[in-house]
Amino acid sequence: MSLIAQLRIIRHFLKLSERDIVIRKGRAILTILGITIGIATLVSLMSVGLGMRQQVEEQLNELLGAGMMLQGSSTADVPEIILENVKSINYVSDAYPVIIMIGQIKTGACVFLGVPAEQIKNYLTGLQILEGRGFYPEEENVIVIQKMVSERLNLHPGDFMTIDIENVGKRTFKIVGVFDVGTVVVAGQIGIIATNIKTAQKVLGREGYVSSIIVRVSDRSKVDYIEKILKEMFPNARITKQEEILKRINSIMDIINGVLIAIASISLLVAGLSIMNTIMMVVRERTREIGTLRAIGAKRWHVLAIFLSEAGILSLLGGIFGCILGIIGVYFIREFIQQLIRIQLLIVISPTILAYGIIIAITIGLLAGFQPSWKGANIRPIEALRYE
Amino acid sequence: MSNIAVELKNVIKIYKLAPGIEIEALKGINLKVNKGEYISIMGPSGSGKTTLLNIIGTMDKPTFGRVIIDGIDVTDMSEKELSDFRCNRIGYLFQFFNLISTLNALENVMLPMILSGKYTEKEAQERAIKLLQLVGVEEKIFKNRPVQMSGGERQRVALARALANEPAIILMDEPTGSLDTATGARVMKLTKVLNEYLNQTFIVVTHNPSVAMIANKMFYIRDGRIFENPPKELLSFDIAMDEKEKYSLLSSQLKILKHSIYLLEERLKRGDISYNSYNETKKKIAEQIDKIEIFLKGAK
Repeated sequence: MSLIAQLRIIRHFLKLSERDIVIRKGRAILTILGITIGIATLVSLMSVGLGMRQQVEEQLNELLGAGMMLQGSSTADVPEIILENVKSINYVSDAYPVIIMIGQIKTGACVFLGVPAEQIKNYLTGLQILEGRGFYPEEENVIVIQKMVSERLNLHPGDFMTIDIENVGKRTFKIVGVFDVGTVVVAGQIGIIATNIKTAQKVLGREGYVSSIIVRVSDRSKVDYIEKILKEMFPNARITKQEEILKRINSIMDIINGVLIAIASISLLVAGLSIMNTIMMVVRERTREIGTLRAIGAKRWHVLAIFLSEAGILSLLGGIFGCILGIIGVYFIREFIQQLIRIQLLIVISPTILAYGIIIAITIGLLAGFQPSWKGANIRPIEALRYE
Repeated sequence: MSNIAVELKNVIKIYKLAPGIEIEALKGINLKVNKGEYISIMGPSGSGKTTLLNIIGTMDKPTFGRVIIDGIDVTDMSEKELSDFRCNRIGYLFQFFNLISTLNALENVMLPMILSGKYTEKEAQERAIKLLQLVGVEEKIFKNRPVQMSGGERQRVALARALANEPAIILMDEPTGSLDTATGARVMKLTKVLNEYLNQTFIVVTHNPSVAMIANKMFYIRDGRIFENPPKELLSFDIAMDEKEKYSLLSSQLKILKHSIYLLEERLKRGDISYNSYNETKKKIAEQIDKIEIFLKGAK
């Protein structure tokens, strides 16, 4: 038989399946809904995962550029004086010191950050002053606090605030501003309090020393060269390149993604079972028709094709609706996360994810539909005809 | 080209129901049907007529013997070859019409043509329209699905479908079984005309004598054997029961009645029934017991 004739047969069968779906609307809708929910879960969770990864990458990029971080071995043991040496290396576009401490405030732990006034915007990406102002380069004993800290403790510019700094003890500072960041990298739920690097050094009693130096590099291809020079200059320093951090973050992201996909898989399994159940029912209902078809000359594969095409149509529709619902779902998840932990997620609707959604839907549909269809195709014709 | 449409040579069909349990549905059938003949095979249910029809229609294979349809020995054909064979050479008409419920009249008739691969969609449609007109289906019904048609209309559509690929033979299994007498007669007349004027071979199996009479040759099937003349026992049913059989039956019945009285007494003890109704029922049963005991004494 020619290929065209075979295609003609398949087209006739598609019509058959399509009618069956239309005639038994209720059941078809429930089955499609099952797949829709499964695919929607998959699409939205994968989109969230992808969005998170891109967001982290972007922020890390803003923070370090194509750069690296130079650290000592304890809280603040990198001499600030080397800053000028670092800056003088070719292709280093900028370098600045940072001191990171952990503090306790009434609501729990916070990050107590020392950074030069003119660099705070580079370090805390997306920083916006909401109330008051930032601190000036030479201004001491003043802090800016993150919006969530301000809200929870009801503290505003002009108020004084006491922080119990790890290894140091309680210190009181004047608040000059309230800020917020659009970041997930530096701190999630713990608030950030920032002060001038000089104040941080004095608090620690380590004037002239910092915890790390952020090195920004103007030419990505020279990163390894600069790392080599830094290692020669400061053999005892730990140097972490942006791409290494990225790698570490990516491996965490892979785990998160894996968990998300595992969650989605459960709903996909349920979707598969619902298709299997539907096709089983269709085969049972139409057993006599299988006998009739075989009597008028249909082959086994024809019968198989009829039921598989029904599974295919149902799952294709489920896949399409699932993608649409998934996109809507992502926005809900973003809203939910924002309410919950005040982080604005980046939303990435990738065509690849949507294509995956549809391909996975059809694959699951055909796999789940295969067993009952195969069973239907292999019923002996005379038994099928006798079926009541 | 031979003139024989169907030839069965000593066909035996044995069904294995379970290990050790076998039923011989056909016990050596020899049958020859010439092209253009209209034959009927008559028999009660369980006589093997549907089995015979399924073997002629290549839906089932004989355990022994040969089956030759349209001059071709189909006995050893593969499943796939048989599908093609059925598609092109055999038309089926069933008691319950067996139309595809999701397709309309026109599409049902087109289906065998599409399956055969010989026609384009348009050709199949044109031919289907002509066939439906031939069997007298009104045009307004062409787009109706089976549930929207009457029984007579459905069987006409099924007949058009059976004719679709110009089969060598058309097999009918109780074709009027689900139709009222008048509608059944109209459908049968239609097949008769097609047989007479188109020289189409028809084989009908039925237990209905008036359907069987339409054929120009009648066969009778009884307990897996085929006869050209009506076998005697086919006409009367032996209701006489020998004494021994009767004795054993009534002895069993006596035991059941005595047990009923025991159960009745138990119910009285439990207080489920009143003394009056106990007496009444017991009297009725006692009468039956007396009657049986009289027979059993006499038989001794």
